[in-house]
Amino acid sequence: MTSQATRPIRLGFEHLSKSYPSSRRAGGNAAGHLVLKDIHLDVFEGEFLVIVGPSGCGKSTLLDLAAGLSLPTDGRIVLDGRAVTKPGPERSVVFQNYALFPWKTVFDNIAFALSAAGVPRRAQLERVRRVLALVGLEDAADRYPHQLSGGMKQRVAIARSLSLEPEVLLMDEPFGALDAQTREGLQAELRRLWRRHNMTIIFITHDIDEALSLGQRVAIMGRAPGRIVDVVQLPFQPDAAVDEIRTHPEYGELRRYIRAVLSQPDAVTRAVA
Amino acid sequence: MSASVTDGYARTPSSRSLRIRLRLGVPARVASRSAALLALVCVWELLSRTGAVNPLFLPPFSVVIADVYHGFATGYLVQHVVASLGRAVPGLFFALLVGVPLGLALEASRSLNTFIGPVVEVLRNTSALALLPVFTLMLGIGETSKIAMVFYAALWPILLGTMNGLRGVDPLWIKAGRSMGLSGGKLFVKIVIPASLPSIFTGIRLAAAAGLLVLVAAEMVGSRAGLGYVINAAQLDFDLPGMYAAILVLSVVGYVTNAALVLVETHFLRWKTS
Ligand SMILES: Nc1ncnc2c1ncn2[C@@H]1O[C@H](COP(=O)(O)OP(=O)(O)OP(=O)(O)O)[C@@H](O)[C@H]1O
Ligand SMILES: [Mg+2]
Repeated sequence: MTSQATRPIRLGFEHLSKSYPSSRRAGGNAAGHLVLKDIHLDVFEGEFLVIVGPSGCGKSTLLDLAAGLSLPTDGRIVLDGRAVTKPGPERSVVFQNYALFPWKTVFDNIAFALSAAGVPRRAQLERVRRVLALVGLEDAADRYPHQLSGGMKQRVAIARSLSLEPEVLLMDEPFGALDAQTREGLQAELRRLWRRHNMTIIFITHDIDEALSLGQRVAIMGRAPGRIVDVVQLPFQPDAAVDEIRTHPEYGELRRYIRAVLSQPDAVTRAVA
Repeated sequence: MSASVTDGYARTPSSRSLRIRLRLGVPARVASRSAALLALVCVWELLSRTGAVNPLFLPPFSVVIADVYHGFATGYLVQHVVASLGRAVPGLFFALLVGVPLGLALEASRSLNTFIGPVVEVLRNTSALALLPVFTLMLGIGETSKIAMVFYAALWPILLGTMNGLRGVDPLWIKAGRSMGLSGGKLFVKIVIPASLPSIFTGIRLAAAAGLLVLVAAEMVGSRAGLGYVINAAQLDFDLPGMYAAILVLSVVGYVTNAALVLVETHFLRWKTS
């Protein structure tokens, strides 16, 4: 916590608001349907930030903004000092619904992203193999997405993003469709990759345990309008194993606190970081 | 962790075992399909031979097929098949050339859609057959009017197939493409087009069927060549075996056209069926 004052900011959300054009059916007013309200949050270089929040609070919307896929109504997003207006090669997104191309095989889905990023054809084969091995899907390279289970699709989507070796990885509930065992394996793998490659990760989840075992900080969002209610600094070591984290003396207290904030965001008395 | 997870899912057969299965499966499928056709032919032959149906109106299959053979041997039927295809193929081709871009434009621009949309709606509900005299008046009885008829009939399925396909493009795929740094033309060529291809192909197949249908009618009414002409002329001459021969050839042409299109389709859309 103390070192953070000196850590450079990688990605800054500066008083960000986002509204969608109101549809009369949804009961919006002339100003539109306000989805995110005054989001102010700095993500540090090499940080693993987890965002938790109830369904529909605007987490995916926030990630789209960070990815440069849509523009804020108010405020701005700053990446390395420059305002984000469009996607860039230093950022990669793992979408909530995988976003695999059904007309491409697993291999080609990943190679396609590499081609788009300008990776030469010869280097692609090597990289695709490596990331598929990482997520345990070497044997599925020639399959089409409709031949995969939900969890396998999710792993392909993760592999696709990792293959791009992004500096900033934006992940939208990437482990949602996995069984507990696979999920824990991939969580540990993601932590390892993060430590090794010094990635900055923004990770969205609605699972408190996942938030606690992955992140360094947890931003808790509230709904209607979507806003950041509190940001919690976690006391765990970056190289701590999941079991160590779960048995940490503060774990239970943190878990209870985040749960309480999620269920009653208006009762929060702590100052927002 | 990976092995335990993937093991539970049925592996798709490798391409080799798939090929083996196909090799065994195809003859069996062909056999069962031709059995039904064979039965139909037998019933036809019997009905006619036994006189259950007046053989004057329905000559036996064997007589008709002999006529087909004769027609091909003398080159007479070949010439007319070529004439029909010479109208169907360009008509279909132009429909593709106009229908796909028009569909793209109509989907891309809302103002264009509200402007042209109603016109499209009225025209596509106007039967091409009803317009036959109009085409003849405007374009004469030559090739141009026949090709134009095929074009008109084929245009709508292709147009609608294209528009349908575009509407079915998941915005998430576009998002994914954009996040990878694609934009504009590349996004269109690499994501929008492949994603709409299934629906466009369906449109093309429907267009081919519609085009052939209208072509035969047009050839019957005002032409000196083509299968439609042969059918009509043979009937007027009371050459019923000749008429049935032309009908048979027409069925085969339709069937082969569709089969060829399906073949192309399955090649491009392997990802849907495999
Ligand atoms: N394109 C859009 N147009 C209008 N409203 C939208 C659009 N996208 C999202 N919304 C609205 O914004 C709100 C937040 O949506 P978002 O997908 O960001 O939520 P979320 O926190 O990711 O939810 P979940 O946990 O269920 O994924 C919702 O109320 C949704 O209806
Ligand atoms: Mg979401």
